[in-house]
This record gives sequence, structure tokens and C-alpha cells, in this order.
Amino acid sequence: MKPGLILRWVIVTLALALPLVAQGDHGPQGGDPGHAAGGHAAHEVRSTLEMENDEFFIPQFSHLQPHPVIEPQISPDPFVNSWVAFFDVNLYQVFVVAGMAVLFLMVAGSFGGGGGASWLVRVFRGWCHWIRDEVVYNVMGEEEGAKWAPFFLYLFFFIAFMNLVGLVPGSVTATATMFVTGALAVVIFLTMVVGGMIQQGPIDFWKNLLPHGLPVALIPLMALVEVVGLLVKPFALMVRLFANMLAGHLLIYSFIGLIFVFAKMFDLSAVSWLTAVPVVGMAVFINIIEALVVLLQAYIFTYLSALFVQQSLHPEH
Amino acid sequence: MLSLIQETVANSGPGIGAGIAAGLSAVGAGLGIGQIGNAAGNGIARQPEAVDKIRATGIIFAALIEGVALFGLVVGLLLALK
Repeated sequence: MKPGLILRWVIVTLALALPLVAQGDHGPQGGDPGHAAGGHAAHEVRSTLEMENDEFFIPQFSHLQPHPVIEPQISPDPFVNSWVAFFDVNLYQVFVVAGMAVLFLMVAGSFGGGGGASWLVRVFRGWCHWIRDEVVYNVMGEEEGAKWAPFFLYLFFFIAFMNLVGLVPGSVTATATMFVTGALAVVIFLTMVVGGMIQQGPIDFWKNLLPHGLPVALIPLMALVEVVGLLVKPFALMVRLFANMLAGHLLIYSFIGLIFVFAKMFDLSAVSWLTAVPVVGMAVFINIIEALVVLLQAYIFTYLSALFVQQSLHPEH
Repeated sequence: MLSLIQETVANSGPGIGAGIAAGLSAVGAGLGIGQIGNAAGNGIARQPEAVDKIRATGIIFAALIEGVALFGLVVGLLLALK
């Protein structure tokens, strides 16, 4: 790898740790704009050496939780109630959808014109073709896949862009919260059940969950197993994406936090400055791995949901 | 020695449970992904022309195992941040 590239990764990783450096005067609710001013007055500014280990690890992890931008107000008085809730996670989802709209309008427009597209548009055209051919057509076949390809293309790029935006320092990873991935998994679950009921008929879908020619005594047990299996598939999709995104960020945050642990352990002597070097190196390594994982997880989510939808549309048995 | 371990476990709170959960799930994932790597390596050595298909399938299976391993990680996080 070129030295310039490595330098850029180091800078990005260190910038990811900026919330940690700045958290001394924020308090545990550092990401919350509504409380930041109050927190500033209440918490006295202390140096890292005076803090407990918990105090610089836990607030950092709290950046992974969604913080409300507009808080819902629920009270007995119905006139005060506002059910509008807007979290910073939603903000980044809106960013991603807006960016996708701009980018893919360009990509979709280039299909009519032919030739003369910029390199960015050409990359995304190839990428769309790859997802369509390798994921959707591979699982569903060309005839049916053509109907489903737009849905899975949207799913892939939505997840991939949310993951990628999370690597930008100072941003929020929408997919690192269970609520966002849970909503995606609910969409997949409804697609499986409703799509299967439309394709096979509302009664036949539930009948076809069971293998044909099953002994009568086994039917209640197998029905339970199959229904649990139906529920576990989207649940596993949810946890896989959420936990992968969370784990990568936790690792980077933890490695950066080690700098401060060593600083405390060696009392800011020369040794503590030296220990920062391998720690930052490992954080950069994890960050590079993470850049691979964000795309891999989007691919896996798309592939597995295509597989599950296909299975519930056309049962094998 | 045993009493020392018992004392440590009793004094350490939920943190040690979280550590054990994360560690054991990593052991399980390591065993599973090792099996996949073994089979995929064998398959590619026998049929180098099938490398693309084997790689794609291997990634999918690894993701399935990793998902289960991450359940352990999430449980550990729930324990540690309780």
C-alpha cells in the first residue's frame, strides 16, 4: 500500500476518536443537543488522569445510541402531546436517501442516453448489474428476478450507504442500532408472509409450511417449529447487521480508549506516548477491515433476504 | 485456588459473565469458520475453476455462523451495560 493511503486511514481513524477527546466537557449525554448546554455547566472540566476508566469508555459507547433531535412529548393532557419523534439516526437515513436519489437519478438517466457517462455513473451501473445478476437472478431466476430486482437493489444500496456513512468521522451509523435494522427485518418478514400468501393463496401458504405427507401426530410440533423458523430468519438478519456494525465501531472506540488507559497507567510518561503508536495502528487495521465488512454485510443482508423471500414464495416441499 | 476463583467471580459482577459470553461465542465461531475454510480450500484445490462459486457460498455460510456468534456478543453487551 502507498504511504499516502495509510496516512489517510490514520487521519480518518483518529478523527473517529474526536468525540472521545471532546467528551471531557460534555458529560455522558454528549450527543444530545438539548442537554448539552446544561451538561456543560453541571460537569466541571477534568483531565483524563483524574477520570475513572468507565468515564471515558462508557460515554463514548453512548454515541452509538440514537439521540433524539425532536423528542416526543407524551402527557395526560392531549393538547400538549406531540408524537413526532426524530432521532439523529433518522437524520442520517434521510441524508442517505437524498444522496441515493441524486446518484441513482444520474445512473438511471444514463441508461437512456448511451455513452459519455462519468466514471462514477459507470461504476454504479456495473454495480447494479452485479447485484442483479449475482444476487437476484442467481437466487430467483431471470424471469421472476426481473420483478424483484428494484426492491433488492434499493435494499442493498440503502444498507451499504448507511454503513459507509457510518465510517465518516463524526457521523452516526444508522445500521448500528437495532431499531433501524429491526425495521428492515420487519419489511423482509412482511414481504415473505404477504408475498407468499399472494403467490400461493392465503390458506395454502400456511399449509405449505409443513412438509406434505406428515404423520398427524407430528403436525402440531412441526407447525410450531416451522413458525418459529419463519420468525427467526428476519430476527437473525436484524441481529447480524446490527451486531456487525456495532462490533466494528466498539473495537475502534475501545482501541482508541486504550490510549487513555495507558496514559493513566504510566502517568503521561514517555512510555505512554510510545504505547499510542501500536494502539493507533490496530485501530487503523480494524478500520480497514470495517471498510470491507460494511459492503460485505450489505451483500449478505441482500442475498439472505432474497433467499428467504424466494423460499417463502416457492416452497420446496 | 478454587476458592480464589470463586471469590474473583463473586466480586466481579456481571462483567465476567459478559467476558465469558463473548469469548465462548468467539470459540464457536472459530470452530465453525475453520470448518468452512477447510472445505472451501479443499474444494478450490480440487476444482480451481469453481473458485467464484465456492467463495460466494463460503461467505454466505460464514455469515450464518457469524450471526449466531454475534448473538453471544449482544448478550454480553446487554450483561455488561446493564
